[in-house]
Amino acid sequence: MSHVLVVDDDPVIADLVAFRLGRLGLQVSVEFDGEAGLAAARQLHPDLIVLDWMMPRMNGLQVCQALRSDADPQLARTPVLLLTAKAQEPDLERGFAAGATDFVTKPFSTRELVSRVTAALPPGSVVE
Amino acid sequence: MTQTGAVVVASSVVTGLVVVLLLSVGAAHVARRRREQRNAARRAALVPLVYTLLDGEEAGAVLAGAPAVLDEVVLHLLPQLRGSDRKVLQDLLVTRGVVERAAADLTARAAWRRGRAAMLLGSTASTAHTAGLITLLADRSSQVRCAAARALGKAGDVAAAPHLLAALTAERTLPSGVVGMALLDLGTAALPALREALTSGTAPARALAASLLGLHGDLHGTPALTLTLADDGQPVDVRRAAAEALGRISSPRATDPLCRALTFSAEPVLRHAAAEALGRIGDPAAATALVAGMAADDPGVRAACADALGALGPDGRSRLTQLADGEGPTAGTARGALDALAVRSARLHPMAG
Amino acid sequence: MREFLTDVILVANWVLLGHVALFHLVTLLLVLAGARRVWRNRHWQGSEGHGETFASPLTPAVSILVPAHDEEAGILDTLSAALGQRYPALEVVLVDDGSTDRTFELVAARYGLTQVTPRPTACLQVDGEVLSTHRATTGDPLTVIRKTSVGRRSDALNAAINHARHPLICMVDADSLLETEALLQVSRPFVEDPDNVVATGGVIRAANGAVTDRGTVVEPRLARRWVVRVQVLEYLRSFLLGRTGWADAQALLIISGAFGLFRRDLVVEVGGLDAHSLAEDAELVVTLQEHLRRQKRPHRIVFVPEPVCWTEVPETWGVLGRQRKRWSHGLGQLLWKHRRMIGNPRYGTIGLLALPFFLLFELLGPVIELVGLSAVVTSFVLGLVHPATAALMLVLAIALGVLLSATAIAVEELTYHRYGRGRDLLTLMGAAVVEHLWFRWAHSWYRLRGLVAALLRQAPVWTAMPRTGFSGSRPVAEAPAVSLAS
Repeated sequence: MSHVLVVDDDPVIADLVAFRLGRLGLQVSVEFDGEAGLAAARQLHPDLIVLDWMMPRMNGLQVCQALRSDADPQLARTPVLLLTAKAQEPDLERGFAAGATDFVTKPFSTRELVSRVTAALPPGSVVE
Repeated sequence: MTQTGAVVVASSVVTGLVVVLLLSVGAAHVARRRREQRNAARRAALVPLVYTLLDGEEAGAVLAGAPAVLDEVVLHLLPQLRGSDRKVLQDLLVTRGVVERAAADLTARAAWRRGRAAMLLGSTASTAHTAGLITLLADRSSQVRCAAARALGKAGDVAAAPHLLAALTAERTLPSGVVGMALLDLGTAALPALREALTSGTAPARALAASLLGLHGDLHGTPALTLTLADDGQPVDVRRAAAEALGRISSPRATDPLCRALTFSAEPVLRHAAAEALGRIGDPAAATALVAGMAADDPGVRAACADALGALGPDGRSRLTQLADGEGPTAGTARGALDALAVRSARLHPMAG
Repeated sequence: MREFLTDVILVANWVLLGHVALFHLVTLLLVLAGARRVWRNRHWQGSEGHGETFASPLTPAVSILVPAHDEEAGILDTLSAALGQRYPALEVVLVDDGSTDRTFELVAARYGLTQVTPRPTACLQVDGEVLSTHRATTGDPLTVIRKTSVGRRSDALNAAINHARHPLICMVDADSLLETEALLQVSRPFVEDPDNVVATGGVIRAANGAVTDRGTVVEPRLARRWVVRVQVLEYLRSFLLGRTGWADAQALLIISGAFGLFRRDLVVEVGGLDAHSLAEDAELVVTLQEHLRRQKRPHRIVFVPEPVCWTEVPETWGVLGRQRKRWSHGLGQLLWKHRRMIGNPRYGTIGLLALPFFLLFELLGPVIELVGLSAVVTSFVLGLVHPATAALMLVLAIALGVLLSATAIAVEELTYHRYGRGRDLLTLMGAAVVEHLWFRWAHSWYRLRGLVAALLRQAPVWTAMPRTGFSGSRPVAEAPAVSLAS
């Protein structure tokens, strides 16, 4: 079973995303700030991370950079889906430069998010 | 003795007031605690229902009659979602009568009712109440005017754009930042109104329209923006906004007018903006004007020219290197820009450094 | 002769009573004006979430300026809080103002500093010698400037302004903790009204005793010492309410040294911070208003009544005394420099209301209070007034003060309720009474000394506060717990 880590400081949003992904038959863990998210990623080795940009402690970009430069090559390659309200061109550039795999811009659609998560995971990991 | 009496009375009154305040603080503290606990419990029960509703399952019947704390949850989620999710939540608010109550409150006596109603209608993104919100743009409370502007932006009815721009210079004005954010929320549909405002609007409207066209990266706006930049009769703020916009749009057709503004203008703010814009465009044809700009008295203009040269690619960088060899402020600025480039590339390519 | 002396003493009694009553009444009125606004906003804040400000491309970038002199105990916390701000575009300019401890080494190691050619954006006068400029290589937008100290915070800040690149500047003391949304809160007026707003400020709170974690306050709690508790109350009163009231009157005078946001171009235009002022931030606010009002340019200074910044207040009487003396000295300098504005209708409510208020109650208050108090004691000893009358007057004066504090606490509980524990609220009420037993009089004495220093035109003495670091914070490095100031 594929494992997804959701990190968002807004518990309502984090839980909503976790709920939708749980419905797909994925194993989902939730963290509510960047630092805890990074620690969880190092411990759980998820197959995908859904990461909010704007968070206290460590923001999504910092978490992303930390992941990419991690000593563990598997963790450094984990796909990261960045959830953000900042969607101007330079922001996207910064996000990708930090190592994001894909973006979902807020306001977002949970259907779109589900599709992007499905696309980023290996085929067959999602039960439709 | 009457004096003493008066002092006694005054002291007792004041002490009494203190005791009353103390008691009410205690009562408020306890009441808030209880209310928070109750609401947290209700919220915990309702939130999963909202999730299932968003998942396409039928939970409307339960949610239609749920306590008011549900509206908070929905209004918190609504601005962060779009597409079918948003539609589901909007419908829920309509079913619960929230929208109807807000529409009625648009003409309420208390300012906070009008303001809150405007905010609610904006969040529900219903275009049925555009007219009512436009009326509120001239409300006597500035907070309500701002709320109406934001709501119009979120509701997304482009018909509101000219009214928003007009509010910049109305008798009861709206600040340009609020209007700008509302117009940005309207998205690219507002572009025609913005192009119109750039040529025929008031000075504040022209400046704002120029900035927003730039933020949208509107290529079709380039000719009008170029004319605005070149027009000496325009206020500096408007010309500066036009220069910044041309930089964001990044069409090389703007290189020449921007070089002219950099070379011939006496205003440091305009020269600064022109240099920055040339850096964004990155057209090597700007190199000569930028090198000339490096001799400016204003350190801000020099720094902007140096950064822009650094962004022109190999040609610009070799010019910077040449300038850095000399003495004086120009050389210092050039060295600073080269250092900044080095730090940046060391960060992007850690192995190479 | 004796009769004349009796008259003088009695008049002094009445002046004291009148002054105390007037001060409390004026403040209470301001408090009520503030409370009214808070009450009106209870259903609707009038503004929306910070998500939009964060996401908006119109939000101006901010340079956070941090002057630091021997701050190894807390500098890494301060920097991580500043760099960790929720804000779309910011840079931090740290000025290492002649530190003799490991301040610079700690920062250099943590952020991989590399020396670069300085890139000044302005040329304000800096008296200390700027030694070198460094940039972080960790990807953090951090610039560090090393300079020799001339013992003035303003000099370090002017050096920082010379190297700030963004349109807004925010001056933060190295010993204060920022809420993660602090910048979003105080920048909102700039975002909404970019053409008119020139400066904004937010509420500052006393952080002593709070549970903190790497530069952010996790849970505010009250410290154990009464001298700190009374200061917590002072901050609550003056910031939460006094200033809400002032902002209503558009006469906001002070944007505190701990947290304010300014337009960089205007600060450069007025020549930066006054090199010789001991209250350089307040001085800057008044100078800006004077400058813009004289040129008839539009300007708004906005106070955001949200708690955004926590500062460590003195724990001992000695340090408190030095701090208050310095403030009073600074206020004296400020009022003297801008004496033409006092009572001048040309300068609107600042000239007619704010400056006279500060002159009458803040600067001259201690003189009147101490002279009055000695008159009361003398007349009591000489049997000039009935003991019961004297006692009653004292009770009335104290009761008015307690009422003022009680209102402040009530509004705090009704609005922000940051103090979650009922116990803390009771303790604060206790502090409201304790304050009048001795704190008030000691405070008057310190302020009097400051006033005397200002009158004698003494050379300003800048003394840093001993830093103890914050309780509950995890040690970032093996730094000594206490770094004593010069």
